[in-house]
Amino acid sequence: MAGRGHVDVSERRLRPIYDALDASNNKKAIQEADKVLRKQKDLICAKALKAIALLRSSRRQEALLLAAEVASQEPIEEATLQALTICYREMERGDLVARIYENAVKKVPQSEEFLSHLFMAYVRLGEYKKQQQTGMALYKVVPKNPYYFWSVMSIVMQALTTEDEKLSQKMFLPLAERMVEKMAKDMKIEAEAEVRLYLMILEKQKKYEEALEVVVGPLGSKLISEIELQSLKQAELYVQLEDWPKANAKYRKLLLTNPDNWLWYIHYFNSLFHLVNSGWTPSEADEGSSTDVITGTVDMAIAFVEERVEDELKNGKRLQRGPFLARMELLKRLTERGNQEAADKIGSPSDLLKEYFGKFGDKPSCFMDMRPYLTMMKLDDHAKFVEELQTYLEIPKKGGELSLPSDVKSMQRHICCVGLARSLGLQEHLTERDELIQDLMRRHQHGLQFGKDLLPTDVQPSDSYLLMTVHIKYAVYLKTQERSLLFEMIVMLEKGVACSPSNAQYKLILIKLYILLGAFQPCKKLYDNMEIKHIQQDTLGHFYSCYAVALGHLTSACSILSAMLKFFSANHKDTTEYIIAAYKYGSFHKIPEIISFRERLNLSHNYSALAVERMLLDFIMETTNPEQMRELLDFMEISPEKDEIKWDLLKDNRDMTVLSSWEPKERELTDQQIEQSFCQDKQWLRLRSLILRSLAAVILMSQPAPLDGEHSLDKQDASKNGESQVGDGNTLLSLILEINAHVQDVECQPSSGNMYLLCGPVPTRMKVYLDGQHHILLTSIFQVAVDVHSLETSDLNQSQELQEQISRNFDCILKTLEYVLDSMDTPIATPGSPPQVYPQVLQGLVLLVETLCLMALVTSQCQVMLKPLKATLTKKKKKKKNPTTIVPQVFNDYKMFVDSLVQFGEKLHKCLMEVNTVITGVDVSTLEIGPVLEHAEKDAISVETVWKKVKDSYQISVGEMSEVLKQKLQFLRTIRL
Amino acid sequence: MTTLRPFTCDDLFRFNRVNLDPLTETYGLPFYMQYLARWPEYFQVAESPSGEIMGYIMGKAEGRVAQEEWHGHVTALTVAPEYRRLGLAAQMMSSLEQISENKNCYFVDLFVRVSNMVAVDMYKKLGYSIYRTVLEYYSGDPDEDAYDMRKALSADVKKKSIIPLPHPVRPEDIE
Repeated sequence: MAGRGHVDVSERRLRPIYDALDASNNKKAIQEADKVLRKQKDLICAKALKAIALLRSSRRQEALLLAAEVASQEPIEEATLQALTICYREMERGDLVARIYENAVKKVPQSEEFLSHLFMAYVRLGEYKKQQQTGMALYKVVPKNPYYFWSVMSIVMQALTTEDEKLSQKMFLPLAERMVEKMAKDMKIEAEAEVRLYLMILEKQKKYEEALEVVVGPLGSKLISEIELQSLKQAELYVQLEDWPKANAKYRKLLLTNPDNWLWYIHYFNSLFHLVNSGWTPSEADEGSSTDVITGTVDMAIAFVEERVEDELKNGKRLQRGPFLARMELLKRLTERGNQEAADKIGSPSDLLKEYFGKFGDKPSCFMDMRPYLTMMKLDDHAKFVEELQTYLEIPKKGGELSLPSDVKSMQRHICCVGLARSLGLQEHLTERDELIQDLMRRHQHGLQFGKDLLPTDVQPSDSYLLMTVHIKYAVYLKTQERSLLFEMIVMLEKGVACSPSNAQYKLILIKLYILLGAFQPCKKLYDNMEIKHIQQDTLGHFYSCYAVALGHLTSACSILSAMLKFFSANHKDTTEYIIAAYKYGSFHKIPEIISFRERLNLSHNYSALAVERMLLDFIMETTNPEQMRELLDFMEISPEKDEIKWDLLKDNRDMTVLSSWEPKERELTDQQIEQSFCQDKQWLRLRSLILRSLAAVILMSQPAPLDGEHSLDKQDASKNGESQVGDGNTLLSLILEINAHVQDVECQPSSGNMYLLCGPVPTRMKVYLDGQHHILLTSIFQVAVDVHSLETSDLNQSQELQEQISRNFDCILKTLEYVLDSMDTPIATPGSPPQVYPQVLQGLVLLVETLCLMALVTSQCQVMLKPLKATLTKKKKKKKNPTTIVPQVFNDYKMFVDSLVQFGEKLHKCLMEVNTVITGVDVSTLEIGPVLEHAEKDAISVETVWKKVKDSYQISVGEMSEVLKQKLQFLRTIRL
Repeated sequence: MTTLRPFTCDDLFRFNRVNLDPLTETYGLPFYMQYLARWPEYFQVAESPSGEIMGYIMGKAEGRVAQEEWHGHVTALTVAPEYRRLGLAAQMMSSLEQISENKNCYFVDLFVRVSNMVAVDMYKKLGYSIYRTVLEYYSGDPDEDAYDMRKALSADVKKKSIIPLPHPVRPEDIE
């Protein structure tokens, strides 16, 4: 009883600390902890809690030491262990959590609680071997099935993660199998999860026969959580075993239960054609049996599918698309196999398509359903086909022209028709394109009445007309590059949004078009309005995120980039919790899935790209002197000597399927184009990351002494591990070579001729960058830094060659700068009538400002290296009292360079200011844009209002650019040797 | 034409067409992960022949068996605008009901905005009835009430679970 009383006293004493921590009053928590410790020195829980409070007051180092002190006493009280766990987890030191429970388990080996904590600590770390042992230890202490299977799953994870396939197949999986087998023999398998794990183990070893035995045996009856799971597993295994007769019969049977399941049709057809290829013929025995019928000939399959169609027509409920699409799929496959005779038995492609249209033409999905089967028709038949579809429209004709539909279903059919015509290429050489556009616009306007009772959260059914119009216009823009078309499309879509505020297609295309005009500001509202968040930032961010930087909206860029990075950095913690949950709830099959999902996010190209851009941006915006740069660098984790990006593993997580498209084949986005664009994205990221690492190398070269803090301690450790010293300039030298080689690689590649498709990816800034000679400017200034650093170790009077090289690089930079600025003499807009806009000018200016800022930063680091040299020289001079010592050329050259850089910056600043003047003078009312149908109440939207948005956005770009430029110039002016 | 299959983590990369709908909330990863880890069979996705995601349903089983409160719950049900009016929602609901039947649940329940008449009517057609109103369940400007709708399953022989409550309840009063 005395012990119990002791606990109560401690608990009462600790309470105020807990309360303070809960209230986020860390200062008070520390005071309370100190108070308790004065009374009761040995109450280590108070120390652990104090460590948490210290950590949360940004006193990480102290917290670490205090926690280590507590941990060294190998506590076993629950409260202390819990507090330490929290502390270490917040420090992201999961390894230390495992250590404290290892110690606790050593002291109390029979504790189920400690062991399960230890197991979960290992799950967090992904230490599968230790998981396996701990799971077994748990099972020995408390023989519960889940513990046993935790251990089995941990073995499977070792099999899945080892790079040694042999080890996986010969050791881990057989071991896991034996363990489950033993339980099965002893009739100890209880849960469905255990059976599924068993199947997973067998399937990973390709032991499909054995797996099948499990599925059809007594254990198979446990597979009930998903519908038809037992049958489905069976069917899947027949496919794996290439037992086509059985697979065929099984999928046929499944289709009888649900004739709308596409995947089952696909498997059914695959099995069918395997049987056909092998010359299967029905035997007498097959014909007799009732349910497990094999339909292994083309005729039997046609009959089966026709039956599904008949049944569907008979059952009187809402028609399901399955049987009708399956019939077209079968026809397509037969045609592709050249079996025309059989194909003819089903019917002609255009008849089937027309029938489908007749039944489902009023559904918005009809176009997408039909599209894959359009290729079955001959080119000559296309026009006739579309013509014939018109007979299904139920829209009266007036004077040969279709008049307007009377209800939403007729309209939907018409929309499908227009889409099909476009997709078949019938609109490509249209002479009456303008009439078509007018007609579609009129129909869009007219169709709005069918949606007037809809909620504002619904999409208007006639929106597709407007979208198709935009697609048509965009195709013209692709050919002509006429910017007035951009304005026209934007006006149309802005009006569209006013009528249908929930249409995300409108907004995404608007973002694309505004970006084409170089205007970032309007995109912000559009993007925020769609509430794109969390994982969508990875999949849809490509529409938007990188342009804040590219178009000079730096303040926005900072907040956008940090919000997105927050998502990625939380990913690891977020997902790991649920790996633990999956063990707890026995969802073993989800564990590898969640782990690879975590990897896919972690390896997202976006993640790396955002991080690199964010760091470059921080240097440009946040630093105005060498010390700040060094501080910032310590805070970031950049290692110049080591490329942290796993290039070969990077994932393209962009969603390129989100925009609807009715485009004909030649303008359909292909996988190859996506791959190509991903390649270019990676090339761009490589260049940016090389520049960032070079900048880091410059800083470390001029200020090698690390600042205090845990991070710099880690760094020292790293350099002890035999890595090359950054301080010696070789790292930077090799980075310069890498940049040059990389640029050469990129330039050697043939330009991709990638069309800038409306639904497709957007090219990187690489071309603008290389055309603007930014790589030359930066590598030259980096070279200067290397050479200045070399001066430190050589006799100033003997280093003539080095000094001349520096001087040459200064020259090169200044000449390049002049050249670049001269070549950018096009103004952003010309105010004539009609006015012209050249948005690419903005991108060029933004890059130039960025490069100038980076050069200013490097230049300031050169000053840090030159200054001591000058000081030594002055001292020597004074000592020797020798007035004849020549002042080395480099000091003078440096001073001249800084002055010229400032002058150039002033010129650039003037250019930025001119943008402002030019755009104010533009009058867009003379811009020739096609007539946009009037929406009486939406008249407020016009080309003038759109131009105002664009202009305001330019002004923000220019304002922010000039701000950051001024700041850097100010700083350059203060540089003295 | 649908392939109804369990939702996988990778589907999160491709569900944009569905989730850009303003009434379909995109949650943080923990929310989806929790369902995937704990009730994987209750998270189903409907895929089109071309592999596009047409819609999905998220659900769970919860409640005490002893009190006959063990039930299936529909957490989210959504279909992309271009795949509406095909009966997808009904298919997904029926699948969730079947799974709940297999677990011997007494009933299935769901919450729906009182303003969402299309959805309320659809659930009624599927056999659901309003069990109670939950006041200000949806936060927003202004907050909106929810109907708690229920459908009895075969375990609830006497259909006790769906007898409507006479008075509305507050969100904090529901379990």
